Amino acid sequence: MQKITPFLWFDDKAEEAAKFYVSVFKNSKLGAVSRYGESAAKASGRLGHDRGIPARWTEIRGVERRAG
Amino acid sequence: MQAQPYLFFDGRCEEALEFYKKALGIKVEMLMRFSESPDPVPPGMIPPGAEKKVMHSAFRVGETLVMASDGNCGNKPSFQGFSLSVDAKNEDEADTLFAALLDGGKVQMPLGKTFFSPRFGMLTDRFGVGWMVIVPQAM
Repeated sequence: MQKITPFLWFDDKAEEAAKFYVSVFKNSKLGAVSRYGESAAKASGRLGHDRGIPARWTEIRGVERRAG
Repeated sequence: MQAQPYLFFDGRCEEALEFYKKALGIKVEMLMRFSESPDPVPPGMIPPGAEKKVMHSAFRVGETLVMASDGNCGNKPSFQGFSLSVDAKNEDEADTLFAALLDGGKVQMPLGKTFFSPRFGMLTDRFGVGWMVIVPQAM
């Protein structure tokens, strides 16, 4: 086992939260972002809505954090 | 700078530490009870009889330091809106960790292959803490 990483569930506000935290912490940046596609939106019961973000990887001074 | 998880078990901290020793092989690096506090605990902060509960503890999971406490000892731990994501080095280790953490808990998403991981699953453990077990995708 390498490490554990906090993963925060924002239930539609992940992008807003990630941008806020990046604005708060110096030396932080957004990493990879993957968004719900149409099929994932259907699978998660979010029909007609494909803008939720299930996972976001940001790096704060090399510490990987994830927020969904 | 680091941002570290701090878990409040509301009276079940010691039980949780014992459970995670078995499930994750954690090493408890520090544990202080309310009765051992250098400063007196402010009146009303904890209920009578909770003096032996955990005021603060720190344990290591692999290379990560996690902190935990019994908080206000209300006996109703609640963990919502976050999970702890554990990296497993291979599928076998993922299976072992998932099964160990699941004892007394509930599966949220069974372990399986996903587009981002060869083996990934989610569960809530017996204390209500959310865990994600993941084998990181080879880059």
